[in-house]
Amino acid sequence: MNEFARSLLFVMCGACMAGCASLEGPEHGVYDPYEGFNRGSYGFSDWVDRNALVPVARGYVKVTPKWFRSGISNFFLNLTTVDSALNGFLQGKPKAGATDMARVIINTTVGIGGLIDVASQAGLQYQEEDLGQTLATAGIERTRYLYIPLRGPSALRDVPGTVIRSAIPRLLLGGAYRWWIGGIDILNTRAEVLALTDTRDTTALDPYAFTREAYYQRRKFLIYDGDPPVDDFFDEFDEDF
Amino acid sequence: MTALARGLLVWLVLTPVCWSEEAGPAAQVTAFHGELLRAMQSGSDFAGRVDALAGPVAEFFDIETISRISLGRTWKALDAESRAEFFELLERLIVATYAERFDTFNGQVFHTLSAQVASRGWVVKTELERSNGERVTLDYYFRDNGVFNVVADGVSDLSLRRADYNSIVKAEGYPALLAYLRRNIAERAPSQETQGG
Repeated sequence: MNEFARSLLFVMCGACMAGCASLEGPEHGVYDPYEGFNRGSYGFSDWVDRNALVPVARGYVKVTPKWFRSGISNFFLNLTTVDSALNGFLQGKPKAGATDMARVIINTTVGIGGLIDVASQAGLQYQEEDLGQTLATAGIERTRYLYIPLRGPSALRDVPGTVIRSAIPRLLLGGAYRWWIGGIDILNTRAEVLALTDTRDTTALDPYAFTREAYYQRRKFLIYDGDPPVDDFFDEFDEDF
Repeated sequence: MTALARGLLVWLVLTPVCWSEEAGPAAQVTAFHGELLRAMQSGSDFAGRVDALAGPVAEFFDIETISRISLGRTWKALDAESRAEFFELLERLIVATYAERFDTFNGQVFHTLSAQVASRGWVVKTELERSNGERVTLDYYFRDNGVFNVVADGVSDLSLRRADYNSIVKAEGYPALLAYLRRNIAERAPSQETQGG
């Protein structure tokens, strides 16, 4: 079985799992029946992160200029934009899909293989779609929280999309893909979110609960393309007024 | 009195009310953003920014409501003295957080995008534009007594606070939450100059 077929099979299994396991819990709300496992996964991942990834990421930020890190980010974002474009079309949003497709074409050619984000400068903004959002749009709004070891916050519905995103560089680069390319992707991504996790560490009293809540909120924001219903933010606290 | 004159009179009487309801929250947000910019531009140290922002925060936010929602069932079990203690701690934390985050002026600009009436209050949508072009959306949710929730890039501050605090209360008890909050406030000052707004 080749790499693509393996990935596809895994994604299909994940999609079935997401569909079957997402029928309980509040719409768009936190639902964490696996909290015991998830807290263990979080604790382990956090330990590895603090003792290995964060020190390396801080060193990487010190020795590399910002333009270099931006170039790396742009390169990998350009690859995953293919997935975003496809999901834009799947969600019935041709404008979003076409915008992402145009981004890929422009950035891959004019932007030197995706290293320079020329498209954003031309007003074509990244649409940030993924399979999890497509499944939510298709009706799977309720989903169980899952903290994937060494990967981070997710939900059963979002697992297939996460797997696809991870596999995209390997699929698109084909024979040119090397293990260290994946390593650079992980390191650069970790470096990008250092400020965010530093803020979390100074703000959160229970970082696990904080991360989980932030994950659900952020996903809802993306599902509604950055414009969730304002009344939901009143409804959520209505019984406390 | 002609129909036109009566209409004009009605318009003159009612219009200020409509304006105050619709423009009021937006004006409050603009004023609060102005205070943040002034605090950053003043070049004050952390303590100075705390002093400068304490009044505006107390006026702008409905801290009583934020306290009640953040604690949920625990709030109902507290007596008046304990509620006042929590209220005071939360207010200090919010002030310290703003004083820490908005420490240096680097050309940040606030844009008010819209002000709308919702079914149970008002929402003012804004954006913070940093000097590097990064934009963060900041939506302010108002009810009768001021802002009870700020949603940054889709993430609700009040939801995070409620999840965080309730998790601590459930696992370690209410006194532990108070201890965490005191420590959190104290930890704001030393790292004051490390983050930009």
